[in-house]
This record gives sequence, structure tokens and C-alpha cells, in this order.
Amino acid sequence: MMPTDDSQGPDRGDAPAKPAVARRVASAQDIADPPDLGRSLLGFRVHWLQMFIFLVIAILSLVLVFDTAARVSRQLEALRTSRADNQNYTVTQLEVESLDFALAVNVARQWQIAGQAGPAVQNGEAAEKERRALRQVRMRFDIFYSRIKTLENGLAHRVILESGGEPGLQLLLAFLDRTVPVMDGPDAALLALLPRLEGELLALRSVTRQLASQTITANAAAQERTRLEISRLLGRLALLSTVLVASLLAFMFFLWRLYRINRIRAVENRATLARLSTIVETSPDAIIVTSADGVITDFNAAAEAMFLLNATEAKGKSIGRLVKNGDFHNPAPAPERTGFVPAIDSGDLSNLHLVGQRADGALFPVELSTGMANLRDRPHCVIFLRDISERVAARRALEESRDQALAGERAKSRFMAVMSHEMRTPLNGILGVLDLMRDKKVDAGTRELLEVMEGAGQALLGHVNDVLDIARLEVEGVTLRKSDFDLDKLLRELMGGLEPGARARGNVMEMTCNPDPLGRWRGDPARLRQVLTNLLGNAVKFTRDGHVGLDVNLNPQPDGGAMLEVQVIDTGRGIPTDVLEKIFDDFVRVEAENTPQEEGTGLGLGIARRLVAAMDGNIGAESEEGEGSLFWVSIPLDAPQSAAHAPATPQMETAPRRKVLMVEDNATNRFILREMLRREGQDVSEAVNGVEGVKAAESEAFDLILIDISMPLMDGLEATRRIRAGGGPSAGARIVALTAHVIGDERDRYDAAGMDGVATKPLNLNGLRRILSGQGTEKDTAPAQKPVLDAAVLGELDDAMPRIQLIGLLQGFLDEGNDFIAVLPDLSVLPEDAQASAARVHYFSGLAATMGARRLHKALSAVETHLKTKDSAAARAAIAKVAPLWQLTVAEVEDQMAG
Amino acid sequence: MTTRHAFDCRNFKTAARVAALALGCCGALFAPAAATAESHIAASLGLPAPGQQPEGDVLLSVTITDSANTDAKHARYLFDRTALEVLPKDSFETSTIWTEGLQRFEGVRLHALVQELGISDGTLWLTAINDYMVEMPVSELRADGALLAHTRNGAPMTARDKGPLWVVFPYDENPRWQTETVYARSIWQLDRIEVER
Repeated sequence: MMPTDDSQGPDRGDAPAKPAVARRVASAQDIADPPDLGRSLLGFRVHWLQMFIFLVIAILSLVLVFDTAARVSRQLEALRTSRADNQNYTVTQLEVESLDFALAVNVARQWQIAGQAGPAVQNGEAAEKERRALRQVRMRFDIFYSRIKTLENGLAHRVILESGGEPGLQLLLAFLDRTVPVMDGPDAALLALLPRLEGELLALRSVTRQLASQTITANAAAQERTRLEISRLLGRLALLSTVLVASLLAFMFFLWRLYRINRIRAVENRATLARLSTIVETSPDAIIVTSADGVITDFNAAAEAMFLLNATEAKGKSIGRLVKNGDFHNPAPAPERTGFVPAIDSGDLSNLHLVGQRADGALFPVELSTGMANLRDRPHCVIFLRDISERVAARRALEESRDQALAGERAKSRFMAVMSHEMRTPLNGILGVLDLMRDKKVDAGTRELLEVMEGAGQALLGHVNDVLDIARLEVEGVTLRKSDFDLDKLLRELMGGLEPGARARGNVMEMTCNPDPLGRWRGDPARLRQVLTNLLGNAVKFTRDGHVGLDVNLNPQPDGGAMLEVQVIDTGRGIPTDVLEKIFDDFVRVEAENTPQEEGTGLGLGIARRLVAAMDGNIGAESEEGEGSLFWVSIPLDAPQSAAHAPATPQMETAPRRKVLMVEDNATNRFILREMLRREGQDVSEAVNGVEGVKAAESEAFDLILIDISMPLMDGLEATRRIRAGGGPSAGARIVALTAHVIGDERDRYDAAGMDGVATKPLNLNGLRRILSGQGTEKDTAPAQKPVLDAAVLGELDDAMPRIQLIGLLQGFLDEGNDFIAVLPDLSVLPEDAQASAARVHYFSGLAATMGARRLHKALSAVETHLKTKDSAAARAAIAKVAPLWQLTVAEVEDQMAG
Repeated sequence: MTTRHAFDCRNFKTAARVAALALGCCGALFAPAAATAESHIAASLGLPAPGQQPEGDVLLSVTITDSANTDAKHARYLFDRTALEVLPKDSFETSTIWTEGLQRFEGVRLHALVQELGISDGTLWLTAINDYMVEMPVSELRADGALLAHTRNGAPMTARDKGPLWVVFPYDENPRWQTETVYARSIWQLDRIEVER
């Protein structure tokens, strides 16, 4: 009968362990509604429901019990106060009295007969007896009469009717009616009737008899009915009472359970509260609870220590007086600092960096997290504060030392770059002269000397390039230029190039390819060649009268590409184990006794390692000292994009004759470049510095201007700006910068100045031809344009502020940008308005730079430059480029905001 | 039938004893006043002399025997209608289960009669002309209880309508008068009373 409710009962044993306070804020929520309470709350409700059900049952049965009891009571009352006499007695008495009457009649008849038959003397006596007998007859009749009348009247008659005795009663009544006149008449009449009366009474016997038995049977049935009814009612009463008692017991049981649950819960709540208050009080973080409008209601010990304010003073104050919005490092003037207000609607905040203010007015940086909780049915904000003064100080120190280290690193790189530049310039001159002398008629001896000189010069150039390579890789990383290339051809050229050197050392070179041919693939052939040249070069260099093998394997990959696996095996002197470990580090060289020092910077393998890594490949080495070395490289190659053979190298056809202005301060470089240009059939003009270059450009129309960047009086950038802005005949010429060091963001500066490309010095003929044919300048081949949005800039912003703030910032940028783009077509480019327009553009340009919108920034910078130089046409052209870029930027910004 | 009644009476006796105990306390308080009233009635009205034959038809004989002294002579009072009407008269209206409609009964309360006879305890044996007999303990008689009725609806009663004397109770007045014992005690065609004290 009792439902077992183990399933929903809040059994403490199997209740899920409360999760550790993963999010600190969660603990605030727990105060109001811990997870296990939620479950027992359900049990609680179930209990209430059960109790309610049993209460209803109890009330129902109580009502029924009352009803039944009332009926029983009525029945009992009816039993107690009988509405009827004993019917059975009455009807049997009727029979008795009829017999008495019959007996009296019989006696009277005896005396009548005796009187008629006996002697006269006796007659007198008999007459007296007869008279007395008649009196008896009359009395017995009266009694009989009274009895029948009793049956005719009152309740007895109803019983007669029910028992079907009415015809019998009617017979009796008819007899009375017949007999009464005789009874009340004279004795003689009665005497005359006696014989008939005797017969009639005999006949009536059966009537009275039947009436009696009928009545008794009916009474018995009625009594039985009554008994049954009472028995039924009492049974029902008993059942209902049982139900009542049972449901009351169940009700009590659930009440008792509820009481127990409540007690357990109260104990648990007390324990939880004690635990929580211990946590709160011992927390190293300040924990402050405020109402929705920021009024402090709780203030823990850590908060007291942090704000130098005791809890009683703090309560009732606004949190805004203790915590101010804004960045600690960019302090606004004190009056402008706005107080922090917990944003109930915005949900939980985490790790906001704000400013705390102690009671003595001192400011300190705080990290703030909030959690919303409903305490006592009202929203409250639980605020966790951490004094991050030390962390901020430590980070500052760390950042400073990092910045110093980076500055040092940059200085080193710059020094190396400048040094190699300074070395390459004269080297360039030497090699250029040698190049030219080869064409002149010289005797064999001189030619030999020239060749030696050129070899040495090339070696020196190689070293310088190595150093420059490292510097560039360190500063800007490796930029891959992928293209389709013929792997077989590349390897053949590689082997061919090294063959003479190998032969000179008595080495045999062998190449095995699997499969053969290897076919066309996509990758960066230049970098691949650089890596393999290095490895093969080393093998040749460190092997004498030995064997140098190149094993090439190509494993096709599921994506259509292939894994290129190359082993370079030599039988050279090998590498000592201790060196082998760091063989790919920079400036590591294998020193060996009794062997002539091989030339080299020790940078080759370092460069190879960087390049292989950039190509997503692996590189490694194994060696046995004295036995030889094995270097292996594995590099993934993509499937070629075009099956058709595309010319990998520009055709060396003669470029059309152009007017070329060369601006270069170094006479040697000027001489070499001039000679090269003339050989290519170009019309060359010269200027020795920026000022002269601008002058020349303004007086004559040039197709191409090659301009050195670092020059006295006016550098290449300034000169370019002036040529572009000057509106002279050469303002639209192609301008290509010549520089020995192109590092980092310098390219942006060239672009901003209006340059079309950059070429690295020293220029060889091939490089020059590419420039002349209008292709192959670094700018044109640069695979990646500036990013629309610079991830690095955004990353910094993301680190510097909470996400929500960043999104706000980006939204602001979009709003500003849309406004700006809307007015852009109306922007006046007239010289007289240029200053104001430039300021307008400059403002948004700065914003774009801040947000890392690099391409937009570049385009805006160009507009600004043209405006400042009052070049209306160029400005208008530049303005036209802004709107499409803005659309790109908007798309990416929106991606960022969504992500 | 007598046996059944006797059984009922025994039960009733037990209950009555308890009631009498309670009433006894009250009775003790009013005893002097009651005694005064009794003597006054006896003085002003009086009973027929014992054994005296009345002028009219004898309707009722009352025989008093002494159980403690069986040899003592029985006191016998005979009442005709006139003698009965001399006794303190009382009346009430009630319905009965043997008649139709309200009936007005007039006569003397049994309680008053036994007081007139100076009987304070013992048992009354009431017998009808058909020899139906009931037993009534004197202690159970109440001043507002059984009425020895000689007149019904203003007329004397004949033997044919349960006369000439009929012991009736005010049945409608109280459920107490609606029990089977009471109905059994409602003896009609009464002609003699024997008192054992």
C-alpha cells in the first residue's frame, strides 16, 4: 500500500558529488540552488504530492465514515425507538383470542343444549349458567373485536398489507360487522346465532392461522433486511475506518519523512553555508556581493585588506566608489574615472582589468570577474577582485627585458644586413667588372687570372648571401613561392652544376631516382634547389676521391601530392658525434685535425633546416666518423596545377627600348648598371642623388626609373614621392627601388612612397631583364598581398582587452568606416581643400592601422600622400580603390566579430 | 409471552436502578415537599376504603400483598368509574401505534396512583381481561409517565376499543416512550393490578 519512494528519495549516499567550483562564479549560484538540492527538491515535491493524495483520501473517507455513521446511527435509533409493537405477538394473540372466543361460544352452546334437553329445575340453574356463558361470549367477542381493530388501525395494518394478509383481515372485519348487532342485541338472538357462530368461528380458524403465519414470515424478512442493512453499514463503516486510519498513518509517515528530509537538508545547508563562508572568508581574492544597482551587501576579509576598509563601512556603499572603469596604465584624470557598475543584463564577466581605489585614494590594478546570482529572489552580483599590481609589474619587467632582447636581436640583424650590404656593393663592382672583362679580348694567362678572381668573388658573394639569408630568415621568416616545376630537370641541373667541382676532388657522383622520371610537381623549386645544393655541396666539399650519391624517392600521397625523400650519401670523413647533434645549428663547423680548413660560414645547414621546416618537411643526418655521412630530407610536394609545360624562366628575348633613368650615388654601381642596361639596348640617363633624380624626372619623360634607396641629400623614398607628386612628365613612370637590404616593414614604406617594385642589389642580368620586361620585380611576385586584416594586430588587441570590448571596438570601427566611405565620394581633392581632406583621411587611416586593416591603411595612405602633394588626379584614382577594399575589410571584420 | 416480558423487564430493571440512583439524589432534596403534597392529596381526595364494594361496575381492582409478610391480609381496593375520577386527574394528547391520528387520553398517572396507595417500592403486576400481564417496578414509574386512562377523546372507552382502562404513555413526547418495553407495558382492557412490596 505504501509506495516505496527510494527512487526519488534524496538519498545522500548516491547524490552526485558537488562539482568542484570550476568556475569561481558558480559558487555564488550554489548558495541559492546547489545542484543536489535541485534533485531533492523534486523528491520534496513528490512527497508533498503523496501527502496531499493521502490527505484527500483521509478526508474523503472521513466524510464517508461520517455519512455511514449517521446512517448507522439512524438505524440504531430506529432500533432503539421502535415504531411498532411486537407484531408477532399481536397476530398470535389474535389466534388465541379467536380460540378463546370460540371456546366461550362452545361453552355457551353446551349450556344452551343442556337447557333445551335437561329438566325444568335444572333449567333455572342452566339458564343462569347460560347467561354467564353468554356474558363470557360477549367479553371474548369484545376482546377479539378489539384485537382485530388493532390490526385494522395503526402500524399493524401496514404490516398486514405488506404480508398480504389483507383479504384475511377483510374476512375478519366482515365477520365482526355481521356479528356486532347480534352481540349487542338480546340474549335470545345471540342464542339463536350460537350454532352458526360456532361454525363460522371454525371456518375463521384457518384465516387467523394464515394471517399469523404470513405476518410472522413478513416480520422475519423485514428483520432480516434490517439486520442485513445494519451489518452492511457496519461493514462499510469498518472498511472506511480502516482506510481512514491507513491514510492517516500514511499521511503521518510522509509527514515524518518530510520532517527528516528537512532536518537533513537543514544540516546540509548549515554545512554548505559554513563551508562557503570559510571559502569566502579565507579567499585570497576579494569577494564582494552587491545588489543589482551596485550597493555592497557583503564584503569579505580579503576585500577589507585590499581596500583598507572594514566590512561595516563598506556595506551600503556603491561598488563604483571602490572600482573604477578604465585601464590602469592609461590613467584618465581622476575626476573622469567612472565607477564600475555591475551589468546585470550582460551576464557574467570574467577577467576584466579595471582600477581599484583604496580608502586612502591609492589606485591599483585589479582583475574583476562577476557572477550573477539570485539571492532571496533578488538579483545580486558576486564580484571577485584580485589585486594584480604584482602581476602587472612582473609583466612589465618581463616585457621590458623582452623588448630589450628583441631590440638587441634586431640591432644584430640590422648590423649583419648593413655589413653584408656594404660588402656586397664593392663585391658587386668587382664581379661586374669581371663580367664585362670576359667579353673583352684578353690573353689566356689573364683569362685564367680572371677566372680565379671570379671564383673567389663568387665564393665571397655566397658567404655574404648566406649571412644575409640568415638575417632575413630571422627577421621575416621564409616566404615560399610555389610553382610547377620539372623535378628531373632541377636535379639534373643541380648535379651538372656540382659535377666539375666533384671531379676536381676526385669524387664520383651518382644519382638514382625512383620512379624515373620523377615528373612535374608543385613546390618552391628555388628553396628546394638551395637545400639540395647545400647538402650536395657539403658532400662534395668534405669528400676526396670518394663517392657522392643522390638517392631520390617519391612516394605518392592520397591527396595527389607526393613525399619527396632525398638521401645524400658520401664516403667522406664523416662527422663526430658531438658535432652531429648540433650540425643544423648556426655557425657550426666541423673542425678536423690534419685536414685543410674548408671554407664556409657554418650557416648552410642552419639555412637548410629553416627552409625545410618552412616547406613542412624534415631534415636529418647520420654519420660514422671516417666512413661517411648520410643527410636525408623529406619534403611534401603538391600535384602540379597545370599539366602543360609553362615557361618556368622568363624568355630571354630582348626587351623593347625604353627611356630609363638610373638614380644611384655609387659610381661603381652606376657604371655596372649602365653597362648592363646599354647591353640590353636601353636608353639610359643617370642621376647621382635624389635631388638630381627628381630634377631629371621633371624635365624629361621616363618609362622606368631605377632608384637607390639610401642616397645623400635626398633618399630614394623622398625622391619617389616628389616625382609622383610633382606631376612632371615622369610622374606616372614605373619606379623600382634598388636596395641591398629589404627587411621587415620597409616594403610598406616603399609602397607608401609610390614605388612599383623593389629589386635586390646586386642586380645580375637576369634580374635586370625581369625588371625591364615589367615582371619579376619582387613586388609583382610577392605572393601575398598585405593581409586585409592583420591577425597579429588583432591578436594583440584581443590580449589587451576582454573580448566584449574588442567587439565593441570593431563595431565602432565599422561604424566610423561606413560614415567615412559614405562621404568619400564627396571628398574634395582640389588643392585648396587638400589639407582638410588629408586630415580627414589621415584620421581614418590611423584607425585602420590600429585595427590592423593593412591594405585599407595602405590605400588610405596613398590617398593621403596624393592629397598632401596636391595631386588631384592621383588622389582621385587612389580614392577609387578605397571603397572595394573597405568591402573586403568589412567582411573580414565581421568574421572576426562572429568568431 | 410473559417470559419475554420478564426478560425485558430484568434488563430494564438494571438500567432503571442506575437511573434511580441518579434520581434518588434529586429525590432526597425534594422529599419533604413531596411528602407534604402527598398528605394533602390523601386528605382532600382519599381512596375508597379497602375491600369496599363501589356502587357502579368495578373497573379496576388493586391488590396489595406484602412479600416480607406473606401471612398478612391482602389490602384490596375496588374502583368504579366515579372512584377513578376522584383520583388526581391528568391528561395528554399523543398518537399511538395502534390508532390513527392524535388521541386525547384522560385518567390518573400510575405514579400518582401508587403514591395515593402509599406504595414507594416493589413491583406492579398489571393484568388485562384477557389475562395479558405486565410487570412494572414502582421505582420506574415517573410523574410524567404512564397514564391509567379511562377516557379517550372525551368519552369512556369500551372493551371493543381497548377500554375500559388503558395504560398509555406520552409516546410522542420523548423517544424514551417509543421502545418495545413501553409498547409492551401499554396494556389495554386492564382490570386488575397487584402490587408486591
